[in-house]
Amino acid sequence: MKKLTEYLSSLQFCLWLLIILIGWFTWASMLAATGHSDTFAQMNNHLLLNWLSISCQKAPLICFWLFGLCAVMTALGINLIFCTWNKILKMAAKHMNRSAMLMLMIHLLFGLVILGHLGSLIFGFRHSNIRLQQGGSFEFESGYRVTADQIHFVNDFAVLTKPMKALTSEEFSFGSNFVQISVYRNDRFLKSERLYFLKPFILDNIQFTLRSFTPPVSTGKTAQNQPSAGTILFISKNPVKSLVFGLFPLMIIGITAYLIMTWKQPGLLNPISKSAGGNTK
Amino acid sequence: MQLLIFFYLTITCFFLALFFLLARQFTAEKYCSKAGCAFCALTLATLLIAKGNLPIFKDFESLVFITCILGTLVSFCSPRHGSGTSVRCWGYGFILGLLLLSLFYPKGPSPDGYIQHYIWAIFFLGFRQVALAGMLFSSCFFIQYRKDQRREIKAPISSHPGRNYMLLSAVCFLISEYAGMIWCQRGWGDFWQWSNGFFQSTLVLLYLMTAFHIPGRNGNFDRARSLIGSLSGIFFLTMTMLRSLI
Repeated sequence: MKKLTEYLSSLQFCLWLLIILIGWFTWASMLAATGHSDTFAQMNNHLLLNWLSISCQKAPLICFWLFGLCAVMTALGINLIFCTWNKILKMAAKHMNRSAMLMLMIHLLFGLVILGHLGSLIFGFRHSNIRLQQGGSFEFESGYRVTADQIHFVNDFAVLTKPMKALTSEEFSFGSNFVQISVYRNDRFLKSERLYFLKPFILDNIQFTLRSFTPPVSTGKTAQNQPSAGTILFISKNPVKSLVFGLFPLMIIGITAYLIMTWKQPGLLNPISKSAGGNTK
Repeated sequence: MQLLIFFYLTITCFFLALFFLLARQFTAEKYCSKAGCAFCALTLATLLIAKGNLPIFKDFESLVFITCILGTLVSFCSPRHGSGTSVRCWGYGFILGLLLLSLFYPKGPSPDGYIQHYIWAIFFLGFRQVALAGMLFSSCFFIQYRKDQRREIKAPISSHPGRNYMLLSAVCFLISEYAGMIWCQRGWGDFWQWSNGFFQSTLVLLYLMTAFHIPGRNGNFDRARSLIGSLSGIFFLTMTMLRSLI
Protein backbone atom coordinates (compact mmCIF):
# COMPACT_ATOMS: atom_id res chain seq x y z
CA MET A 1 0.00 0.00 0.00
CA LYS A 2 2.82 2.33 0.93
CA LYS A 3 4.56 1.55 -2.34
CA LEU A 4 1.39 2.32 -4.25
CA THR A 5 0.87 5.68 -2.56
CA GLU A 6 4.54 6.47 -3.13
CA TYR A 7 4.19 5.71 -6.82
CA LEU A 8 0.97 7.71 -7.08
CA SER A 9 2.79 10.69 -5.52
CA SER A 10 5.88 10.31 -7.64
CA LEU A 11 7.33 12.42 -10.42
CA GLN A 12 7.78 9.23 -12.50
CA PHE A 13 4.02 8.69 -12.53
CA CYS A 14 3.47 12.37 -13.38
CA LEU A 15 6.03 12.19 -16.17
CA TRP A 16 4.43 9.12 -17.73
CA LEU A 17 1.04 10.79 -17.64
CA LEU A 18 2.42 13.95 -19.26
CA ILE A 19 4.05 11.89 -22.01
CA ILE A 20 0.77 10.04 -22.62
CA LEU A 21 -1.04 13.39 -22.74
CA ILE A 22 1.43 14.74 -25.30
CA GLY A 23 0.75 11.67 -27.46
CA TRP A 24 -2.98 12.01 -26.89
CA PHE A 25 -3.10 15.68 -27.92
CA THR A 26 -0.83 15.03 -30.91
CA TRP A 27 -3.35 12.43 -32.02
CA ALA A 28 -6.19 14.94 -31.48
CA SER A 29 -4.33 17.53 -33.51
CA MET A 30 -3.92 15.02 -36.32
CA LEU A 31 -7.58 14.03 -36.10
CA ALA A 32 -8.64 17.67 -36.27
CA ALA A 33 -6.42 18.23 -39.30
CA THR A 34 -7.65 15.12 -41.11
CA GLY A 35 -11.39 15.47 -41.40
CA HIS A 36 -12.61 15.38 -37.79
CA SER A 37 -12.63 19.13 -37.26
CA ASP A 38 -16.42 19.21 -37.72
CA THR A 39 -16.87 16.69 -34.92
CA PHE A 40 -14.74 18.82 -32.61
CA ALA A 41 -16.73 21.88 -33.69
CA GLN A 42 -19.90 19.97 -32.79
CA MET A 43 -18.46 19.29 -29.35
CA ASN A 44 -18.12 23.04 -28.85
CA ASN A 45 -21.81 23.50 -29.51
CA HIS A 46 -22.99 21.21 -26.72
CA LEU A 47 -22.27 20.43 -23.12
CA LEU A 48 -20.39 17.17 -22.66
CA LEU A 49 -23.25 14.92 -21.57
CA ASN A 50 -25.51 16.33 -24.25
CA TRP A 51 -22.88 15.74 -26.94
CA LEU A 52 -22.27 12.20 -25.71
CA SER A 53 -25.97 11.38 -25.96
CA ILE A 54 -26.33 12.94 -29.43
CA SER A 55 -23.11 12.26 -31.29
CA CYS A 56 -21.04 9.67 -29.49
CA GLN A 57 -22.29 6.81 -31.69
CA LYS A 58 -21.68 8.86 -34.84
CA ALA A 59 -18.08 9.60 -33.89
CA PRO A 60 -16.75 6.61 -31.91
CA LEU A 61 -13.11 7.54 -32.50
CA ILE A 62 -13.51 11.02 -31.00
CA CYS A 63 -15.57 9.50 -28.21
CA PHE A 64 -12.75 7.05 -27.45
CA TRP A 65 -10.27 9.92 -27.54
CA LEU A 66 -12.42 11.91 -25.11
CA PHE A 67 -12.81 9.02 -22.64
CA GLY A 68 -9.06 8.38 -22.84
CA LEU A 69 -8.39 12.04 -22.10
CA CYS A 70 -10.74 11.95 -19.11
CA ALA A 71 -8.99 8.82 -17.80
CA VAL A 72 -5.49 10.33 -18.08
CA MET A 73 -6.62 13.62 -16.57
CA THR A 74 -8.20 11.73 -13.67
CA ALA A 75 -4.90 9.92 -13.09
CA LEU A 76 -3.07 13.27 -13.23
CA GLY A 77 -5.55 14.63 -10.69
CA ILE A 78 -4.84 11.65 -8.41
CA ASN A 79 -1.11 12.28 -8.80
CA LEU A 80 -1.62 15.95 -7.96
CA ILE A 81 -3.61 15.15 -4.82
CA PHE A 82 -1.21 12.47 -3.59
CA CYS A 83 1.88 14.50 -4.40
CA THR A 84 0.46 17.62 -2.77
CA TRP A 85 -0.52 15.71 0.36
CA ASN A 86 2.52 13.47 0.70
CA LYS A 87 5.31 15.69 -0.57
CA ILE A 88 4.68 19.38 -1.22
CA LEU A 89 2.49 20.01 1.84
CA LYS A 90 4.88 18.17 4.15
CA MET A 91 7.86 20.02 2.73
CA ALA A 92 6.15 23.39 3.03
CA ALA A 93 5.07 22.67 6.61
CA LYS A 94 8.42 21.23 7.65
CA HIS A 95 10.67 23.99 6.40
CA MET A 96 8.15 26.84 6.22
CA ASN A 97 9.88 27.46 2.94
CA ARG A 98 8.37 30.31 0.90
CA SER A 99 9.21 28.77 -2.45
CA ALA A 100 7.65 25.45 -1.35
CA MET A 101 4.54 27.34 -0.24
CA LEU A 102 4.38 28.99 -3.65
CA MET A 103 4.88 25.62 -5.32
CA LEU A 104 1.96 24.29 -3.30
CA MET A 105 -0.20 27.24 -4.30
CA ILE A 106 0.70 26.92 -8.01
CA HIS A 107 -0.15 23.20 -8.04
CA LEU A 108 -3.46 23.74 -6.26
CA LEU A 109 -4.40 26.60 -8.58
CA PHE A 110 -3.47 24.51 -11.61
CA GLY A 111 -5.72 21.72 -10.38
CA LEU A 112 -8.61 24.13 -9.85
CA VAL A 113 -8.12 25.72 -13.30
CA ILE A 114 -8.26 22.28 -14.93
CA LEU A 115 -11.37 21.45 -12.90
CA GLY A 116 -12.84 24.74 -14.11
CA HIS A 117 -12.22 23.68 -17.71
CA LEU A 118 -14.00 20.40 -17.01
CA GLY A 119 -16.80 22.23 -15.19
CA SER A 120 -17.40 24.44 -18.22
CA LEU A 121 -18.21 21.25 -20.15
CA ILE A 122 -20.68 20.05 -17.56
CA PHE A 123 -22.49 22.95 -15.90
CA GLY A 124 -24.75 25.65 -17.29
CA PHE A 125 -26.10 25.57 -20.83
CA ARG A 126 -25.15 26.34 -24.42
CA HIS A 127 -27.34 27.22 -27.38
CA SER A 128 -25.25 27.48 -30.47
CA ASN A 129 -25.94 28.67 -34.00
CA ILE A 130 -29.23 30.35 -33.19
CA ARG A 131 -30.22 31.79 -36.54
CA LEU A 132 -32.56 34.72 -36.22
CA GLN A 133 -34.05 37.10 -38.74
CA GLN A 134 -35.16 40.59 -37.72
CA GLY A 135 -38.13 40.21 -35.37
CA GLY A 136 -37.40 36.54 -34.74
CA SER A 137 -37.09 35.14 -31.23
CA PHE A 138 -35.69 32.15 -29.38
CA GLU A 139 -36.84 30.67 -26.09
CA PHE A 140 -34.56 28.82 -23.74
CA GLU A 141 -34.09 27.66 -20.12
CA SER A 142 -36.05 29.14 -17.19
CA GLY A 143 -38.57 30.98 -19.36
CA TYR A 144 -36.05 33.27 -21.03
CA ARG A 145 -36.70 34.59 -24.52
CA VAL A 146 -34.45 36.66 -26.76
CA THR A 147 -35.75 38.70 -29.67
CA ALA A 148 -33.70 40.21 -32.49
CA ASP A 149 -35.36 43.64 -32.68
CA GLN A 150 -33.02 45.11 -35.24
CA ILE A 151 -30.24 43.68 -37.38
CA HIS A 152 -28.12 46.55 -38.57
CA PHE A 153 -25.74 45.56 -41.33
CA VAL A 154 -24.17 48.33 -43.41
CA ASN A 155 -21.75 46.42 -45.68
CA ASP A 156 -22.05 44.39 -48.83
CA PHE A 157 -23.78 41.06 -48.11
CA ALA A 158 -21.26 39.33 -50.37
CA VAL A 159 -18.60 39.58 -47.63
CA LEU A 160 -20.66 37.31 -45.40
CA THR A 161 -19.41 34.28 -47.27
CA LYS A 162 -15.93 34.92 -45.81
CA PRO A 163 -14.92 33.86 -42.29
CA MET A 164 -14.98 36.70 -39.75
CA LYS A 165 -11.22 36.47 -39.20
CA ALA A 166 -10.51 37.10 -42.88
CA LEU A 167 -12.57 40.28 -43.12
CA THR A 168 -10.77 43.59 -43.39
CA SER A 169 -11.98 46.84 -41.85
CA GLU A 170 -12.95 48.09 -45.33
CA GLU A 171 -15.11 45.03 -45.94
CA PHE A 172 -16.77 44.85 -42.55
CA SER A 173 -17.53 47.82 -40.29
CA PHE A 174 -16.96 46.28 -36.87
CA GLY A 175 -18.25 49.37 -35.06
CA SER A 176 -21.40 49.83 -37.17
CA ASN A 177 -22.81 46.35 -37.63
CA PHE A 178 -24.88 45.26 -34.66
CA VAL A 179 -27.92 43.32 -33.55
CA GLN A 180 -30.34 44.94 -31.14
CA ILE A 181 -31.77 42.26 -28.87
CA SER A 182 -34.39 42.28 -26.14
CA VAL A 183 -34.46 39.72 -23.36
CA TYR A 184 -37.67 38.61 -21.67
CA ARG A 185 -38.33 36.23 -18.83
CA ASN A 186 -41.78 34.68 -18.61
CA ASP A 187 -42.89 37.39 -21.08
CA ARG A 188 -41.67 40.14 -18.78
CA PHE A 189 -39.26 42.52 -20.48
CA LEU A 190 -35.83 42.51 -18.80
CA LYS A 191 -33.42 44.49 -20.93
CA SER A 192 -32.58 45.57 -24.44
CA GLU A 193 -29.01 45.83 -25.69
CA ARG A 194 -26.92 46.05 -28.84
CA LEU A 195 -24.60 43.15 -29.64
CA TYR A 196 -21.46 43.90 -31.60
CA PHE A 197 -18.85 41.43 -32.72
CA LEU A 198 -16.58 40.75 -29.67
CA LYS A 199 -18.89 42.82 -27.46
CA PRO A 200 -21.33 40.36 -25.93
CA PHE A 201 -24.15 41.19 -23.57
CA ILE A 202 -24.35 39.49 -20.17
CA LEU A 203 -27.56 39.32 -18.15
CA ASP A 204 -28.13 37.08 -15.10
CA ASN A 205 -24.82 35.36 -15.91
CA ILE A 206 -26.17 34.44 -19.36
CA GLN A 207 -23.96 35.60 -22.20
CA PHE A 208 -25.47 36.61 -25.55
CA THR A 209 -22.74 36.55 -28.18
CA LEU A 210 -22.98 37.76 -31.76
CA ARG A 211 -21.25 35.06 -33.81
CA SER A 212 -21.91 36.39 -37.30
CA PHE A 213 -24.40 37.76 -39.78
CA THR A 214 -26.13 35.80 -42.52
CA PRO A 215 -27.19 37.03 -45.97
CA PRO A 216 -30.87 37.98 -46.34
CA VAL A 217 -33.26 35.12 -47.01
CA SER A 218 -35.27 37.01 -49.63
CA THR A 219 -33.49 38.52 -52.60
CA GLY A 220 -36.55 40.42 -53.83
CA LYS A 221 -35.25 43.88 -53.07
CA THR A 222 -37.74 46.72 -53.32
CA ALA A 223 -37.54 50.33 -52.26
CA GLN A 224 -40.02 49.85 -49.41
CA ASN A 225 -38.81 46.47 -48.28
CA GLN A 226 -35.02 46.45 -47.98
CA PRO A 227 -33.80 42.93 -47.31
CA SER A 228 -32.26 42.60 -43.87
CA ALA A 229 -29.35 40.39 -42.91
CA GLY A 230 -29.91 37.57 -40.48
CA THR A 231 -27.79 36.82 -37.48
CA ILE A 232 -26.25 33.87 -35.66
CA LEU A 233 -26.17 34.10 -31.89
CA PHE A 234 -24.58 31.94 -29.22
CA ILE A 235 -26.28 31.90 -25.84
CA SER A 236 -24.38 30.38 -22.97
CA LYS A 237 -24.32 30.19 -19.22
CA ASN A 238 -21.09 29.04 -17.64
CA PRO A 239 -21.14 29.20 -13.83
CA VAL A 240 -17.44 28.29 -13.47
CA LYS A 241 -16.20 30.97 -15.87
CA SER A 242 -15.54 33.53 -13.12
CA LEU A 243 -13.64 30.95 -11.08
CA VAL A 244 -11.24 30.19 -13.95
CA PHE A 245 -10.83 33.84 -14.92
CA GLY A 246 -10.06 34.65 -11.29
CA LEU A 247 -7.66 31.79 -10.57
CA PHE A 248 -5.69 31.78 -13.82
CA PRO A 249 -3.98 35.17 -13.19
CA LEU A 250 -3.21 34.08 -9.62
CA MET A 251 -1.44 31.04 -11.03
CA ILE A 252 0.58 33.28 -13.38
CA ILE A 253 1.46 35.61 -10.49
CA GLY A 254 2.47 32.59 -8.41
CA ILE A 255 4.80 31.24 -11.10
CA THR A 256 6.27 34.73 -11.63
CA ALA A 257 6.93 35.12 -7.90
CA TYR A 258 8.47 31.66 -7.81
CA LEU A 259 10.68 32.53 -10.77
CA ILE A 260 11.88 35.73 -9.08
CA MET A 261 12.59 33.89 -5.83
CA THR A 262 14.58 31.16 -7.55
CA TRP A 263 16.26 33.23 -10.28
CA LYS A 264 19.65 33.05 -8.60
CA GLN A 265 21.40 29.78 -9.12
CA PRO A 266 21.45 27.50 -6.10
CA GLY A 267 24.74 25.75 -5.50
CA LEU A 268 23.36 22.40 -6.57
CA LEU A 269 23.47 20.05 -9.48
CA ASN A 270 20.40 19.81 -11.72
CA PRO A 271 18.96 23.22 -11.00
CA ILE A 272 15.84 22.64 -13.11
CA SER A 273 14.79 19.77 -10.94
CA LYS A 274 15.73 21.50 -7.73
CA SER A 275 14.09 24.81 -8.37
CA ALA A 276 11.26 23.99 -10.76
CA GLY A 277 9.56 21.24 -8.89
CA GLY A 278 11.88 18.29 -9.26
CA ASN A 279 12.73 18.03 -5.60
CA THR A 280 9.18 18.26 -4.43
CA LYS A 281 7.90 14.89 -5.47
CA MET B 1 11.64 49.14 -50.69
CA GLN B 2 12.74 50.67 -47.38
CA LEU B 3 11.37 47.60 -45.63
CA LEU B 4 13.43 45.24 -47.76
CA ILE B 5 16.60 47.28 -47.26
CA PHE B 6 16.23 47.15 -43.47
CA PHE B 7 15.33 43.48 -43.61
CA TYR B 8 18.35 42.47 -45.68
CA LEU B 9 20.61 44.69 -43.53
CA THR B 10 19.30 42.77 -40.50
CA ILE B 11 20.29 39.48 -42.12
CA THR B 12 23.71 40.86 -43.07
CA CYS B 13 24.42 42.23 -39.60
CA PHE B 14 23.50 39.02 -37.79
CA PHE B 15 25.44 36.97 -40.32
CA LEU B 16 28.48 39.18 -39.71
CA ALA B 17 27.96 38.93 -35.94
CA LEU B 18 28.12 35.13 -36.24
CA PHE B 19 31.17 35.38 -38.48
CA PHE B 20 33.04 37.67 -36.07
CA LEU B 21 32.06 35.48 -33.13
CA LEU B 22 33.52 32.43 -34.85
CA ALA B 23 36.60 34.49 -35.70
CA ARG B 24 36.74 35.48 -32.02
CA GLN B 25 36.52 39.20 -32.89
CA PHE B 26 34.20 39.96 -30.01
CA THR B 27 34.13 43.76 -30.30
CA ALA B 28 33.12 43.61 -33.96
CA GLU B 29 30.63 40.89 -33.10
CA LYS B 30 29.07 43.07 -30.40
CA TYR B 31 28.60 46.02 -32.77
CA CYS B 32 27.21 43.84 -35.57
CA SER B 33 24.80 42.21 -33.15
CA LYS B 34 23.55 45.57 -31.89
CA ALA B 35 23.29 46.90 -35.46
CA GLY B 36 21.29 43.77 -36.37
CA CYS B 37 18.86 44.49 -33.52
CA ALA B 38 18.58 48.13 -34.63
CA PHE B 39 17.84 47.20 -38.27
CA CYS B 40 15.38 44.57 -37.11
CA ALA B 41 13.61 47.25 -35.02
CA LEU B 42 13.65 49.57 -38.07
CA THR B 43 12.06 46.81 -40.18
CA LEU B 44 9.32 46.50 -37.59
CA ALA B 45 8.93 50.29 -37.40
CA THR B 46 8.50 50.43 -41.20
CA LEU B 47 5.76 47.79 -40.99
CA LEU B 48 4.14 49.68 -38.11
CA ILE B 49 4.14 52.99 -39.98
CA ALA B 50 2.85 51.41 -43.22
CA LYS B 51 -0.46 50.27 -41.70
CA GLY B 52 -0.50 51.59 -38.17
CA ASN B 53 -0.83 48.06 -36.77
CA LEU B 54 1.62 46.26 -34.53
CA PRO B 55 3.79 43.93 -36.64
CA ILE B 56 2.80 40.67 -34.96
CA PHE B 57 -0.04 39.31 -37.07
CA LYS B 58 1.22 37.79 -40.30
CA ASP B 59 4.00 35.23 -40.64
CA PHE B 60 6.68 37.55 -42.00
CA GLU B 61 6.19 40.34 -39.49
CA SER B 62 5.81 37.96 -36.55
CA LEU B 63 9.05 36.16 -37.46
CA VAL B 64 10.85 39.51 -37.64
CA PHE B 65 9.32 40.46 -34.28
CA ILE B 66 10.53 37.19 -32.71
CA THR B 67 13.96 37.81 -34.25
CA CYS B 68 14.07 41.28 -32.72
CA ILE B 69 13.26 39.95 -29.22
CA LEU B 70 15.70 37.04 -29.56
CA GLY B 71 18.40 39.35 -30.96
CA THR B 72 17.96 41.67 -27.99
CA LEU B 73 18.20 38.74 -25.55
CA VAL B 74 21.30 37.36 -27.28
CA SER B 75 22.97 40.78 -27.41
CA PHE B 76 22.21 41.93 -23.89
CA CYS B 77 21.41 38.90 -21.72
CA SER B 78 23.88 36.21 -22.75
CA PRO B 79 27.14 35.68 -20.88
CA ARG B 80 30.09 37.45 -22.54
CA HIS B 81 32.86 35.01 -21.62
CA GLY B 82 33.66 31.29 -21.53
CA SER B 83 30.85 29.10 -22.82
CA GLY B 84 28.67 32.21 -23.04
CA THR B 85 30.18 32.91 -26.45
CA SER B 86 28.88 29.54 -27.64
CA VAL B 87 25.44 30.42 -26.27
CA ARG B 88 25.54 33.51 -28.50
CA CYS B 89 26.64 31.34 -31.39
CA TRP B 90 23.52 29.17 -31.02
CA GLY B 91 21.48 32.35 -30.62
CA TYR B 92 22.74 33.75 -33.93
CA GLY B 93 22.03 30.36 -35.49
CA PHE B 94 18.40 30.58 -34.38
CA ILE B 95 18.16 34.23 -35.49
CA LEU B 96 19.47 33.41 -38.97
CA GLY B 97 17.14 30.40 -39.08
CA LEU B 98 14.15 32.63 -38.30
CA LEU B 99 15.23 35.22 -40.88
CA LEU B 100 15.74 32.49 -43.46
CA LEU B 101 12.27 31.17 -42.72
CA SER B 102 10.77 34.64 -43.10
CA LEU B 103 12.22 34.85 -46.63
CA PHE B 104 9.57 32.34 -47.73
CA TYR B 105 6.63 34.52 -46.68
CA PRO B 106 5.20 37.56 -48.47
CA LYS B 107 6.90 40.67 -47.17
CA GLY B 108 4.65 43.51 -46.15
CA PRO B 109 2.23 44.59 -43.47
CA SER B 110 -0.85 42.53 -42.62
CA PRO B 111 -4.23 43.65 -44.01
CA ASP B 112 -6.29 45.70 -41.59
CA GLY B 113 -8.82 43.43 -39.88
CA TYR B 114 -10.52 43.39 -36.51
CA ILE B 115 -7.77 41.54 -34.66
CA GLN B 116 -5.25 44.29 -35.40
CA HIS B 117 -7.26 46.59 -33.15
CA TYR B 118 -8.46 44.12 -30.58
CA ILE B 119 -6.42 44.40 -27.39
CA TRP B 120 -6.81 40.74 -26.33
CA ALA B 121 -5.74 39.51 -29.75
CA ILE B 122 -2.71 41.80 -29.56
CA PHE B 123 -1.82 40.45 -26.09
CA PHE B 124 -2.41 36.88 -27.24
CA LEU B 125 -0.10 37.11 -30.24
CA GLY B 126 2.43 39.50 -28.70
CA PHE B 127 3.08 37.45 -25.57
CA ARG B 128 3.10 34.23 -27.55
CA GLN B 129 5.89 35.57 -29.73
CA VAL B 130 7.84 36.87 -26.75
CA ALA B 131 7.45 33.39 -25.21
CA LEU B 132 8.78 31.78 -28.38
CA ALA B 133 11.80 34.10 -28.46
CA GLY B 134 12.46 33.36 -24.77
CA MET B 135 12.19 29.63 -25.35
CA LEU B 136 14.64 29.76 -28.26
CA PHE B 137 17.03 31.69 -26.04
CA SER B 138 16.65 29.13 -23.26
CA SER B 139 17.36 26.38 -25.83
CA CYS B 140 20.74 28.03 -26.53
CA PHE B 141 21.76 27.53 -22.89
CA PHE B 142 20.59 23.93 -22.81
CA ILE B 143 22.33 23.04 -26.08
CA GLN B 144 25.59 24.49 -24.78
CA TYR B 145 25.06 22.80 -21.40
CA ARG B 146 24.75 19.45 -23.18
CA LYS B 147 27.88 20.15 -25.20
CA ASP B 148 29.84 21.17 -22.10
CA GLN B 149 28.75 18.02 -20.28
CA ARG B 150 30.33 15.89 -22.99
CA ARG B 151 33.63 17.76 -22.92
CA GLU B 152 35.79 18.21 -19.88
CA ILE B 153 36.17 21.96 -19.70
CA LYS B 154 37.13 24.27 -16.86
CA ALA B 155 34.02 26.41 -16.63
CA PRO B 156 31.03 24.54 -18.04
CA ILE B 157 27.88 26.56 -18.45
CA SER B 158 25.05 25.92 -16.03
CA SER B 159 21.57 24.97 -17.20
CA HIS B 160 20.06 27.29 -14.60
CA PRO B 161 19.83 30.37 -16.88
CA GLY B 162 18.17 28.12 -19.46
CA ARG B 163 15.67 27.00 -16.84
CA ASN B 164 15.06 30.65 -15.86
CA TYR B 165 14.34 31.76 -19.43
CA MET B 166 12.19 28.71 -19.99
CA LEU B 167 10.12 29.51 -16.91
CA LEU B 168 9.92 33.15 -18.01
CA SER B 169 8.68 31.96 -21.41
CA ALA B 170 6.12 29.78 -19.65
CA VAL B 171 4.84 32.88 -17.82
CA CYS B 172 4.60 34.81 -21.11
CA PHE B 173 2.89 31.84 -22.72
CA LEU B 174 0.34 31.64 -19.90
CA ILE B 175 -0.35 35.39 -20.17
CA SER B 176 -0.93 34.86 -23.88
CA GLU B 177 -3.28 31.95 -23.12
CA TYR B 178 -5.19 34.09 -20.63
CA ALA B 179 -5.63 36.83 -23.23
CA GLY B 180 -6.75 34.12 -25.66
CA MET B 181 -9.32 32.90 -23.15
CA ILE B 182 -10.82 36.39 -22.86
CA TRP B 183 -10.81 36.74 -26.67
CA CYS B 184 -12.53 33.38 -27.05
CA GLN B 185 -15.07 34.18 -24.33
CA ARG B 186 -16.05 37.49 -25.92
CA GLY B 187 -16.04 36.31 -29.51
CA TRP B 188 -17.38 32.76 -29.27
CA GLY B 189 -19.17 32.62 -25.93
CA ASP B 190 -16.84 30.22 -24.12
CA PHE B 191 -13.31 30.57 -22.75
CA TRP B 192 -11.97 27.51 -24.54
CA GLN B 193 -12.98 25.40 -27.48
CA TRP B 194 -11.91 22.13 -29.02
CA SER B 195 -9.88 23.15 -32.05
CA ASN B 196 -6.51 22.59 -33.64
CA GLY B 197 -5.25 25.83 -32.09
CA PHE B 198 -6.27 24.61 -28.64
CA PHE B 199 -4.58 21.23 -29.15
CA GLN B 200 -1.35 22.85 -30.27
CA SER B 201 -1.33 25.33 -27.37
CA THR B 202 -1.96 22.46 -24.97
CA LEU B 203 0.93 20.55 -26.50
CA VAL B 204 3.28 23.47 -25.83
CA LEU B 205 2.01 23.68 -22.25
CA LEU B 206 2.42 19.92 -21.75
CA TYR B 207 5.92 20.09 -23.19
CA LEU B 208 6.85 22.79 -20.69
CA MET B 209 5.29 20.80 -17.86
CA THR B 210 7.29 17.74 -18.92
CA ALA B 211 10.51 19.78 -18.88
CA PHE B 212 9.81 20.84 -15.30
CA HIS B 213 8.73 17.41 -14.04
CA ILE B 214 11.62 15.15 -14.92
CA PRO B 215 12.56 13.23 -11.79
CA GLY B 216 15.91 12.16 -10.44
CA ARG B 217 19.30 13.75 -10.16
CA ASN B 218 21.55 11.29 -11.90
CA GLY B 219 23.26 11.88 -15.22
CA ASN B 220 20.65 10.17 -17.39
CA PHE B 221 17.80 12.27 -16.08
CA ASP B 222 19.94 15.36 -16.32
CA ARG B 223 20.65 14.58 -19.97
CA ALA B 224 16.94 13.99 -20.61
CA ARG B 225 16.10 17.30 -18.93
CA SER B 226 18.64 19.23 -20.96
CA LEU B 227 17.55 17.47 -24.18
CA ILE B 228 13.95 18.54 -23.60
CA GLY B 229 15.19 22.03 -22.76
CA SER B 230 17.30 22.16 -25.92
CA LEU B 231 14.38 21.21 -28.12
CA SER B 232 11.80 23.45 -26.41
CA GLY B 233 12.27 26.44 -28.72
CA ILE B 234 12.25 24.29 -31.85
CA PHE B 235 9.14 22.47 -30.63
CA PHE B 236 7.29 25.72 -29.97
CA LEU B 237 8.43 27.17 -33.33
CA THR B 238 7.19 24.04 -35.13
CA MET B 239 3.82 24.32 -33.39
CA THR B 240 3.58 28.00 -34.33
CA MET B 241 4.45 27.35 -37.97
CA LEU B 242 2.00 24.43 -38.13
CA ARG B 243 -0.68 26.65 -36.68
CA SER B 244 -0.15 29.22 -39.41
CA LEU B 245 -0.17 26.53 -42.09
CA ILE B 246 -3.29 24.60 -41.01
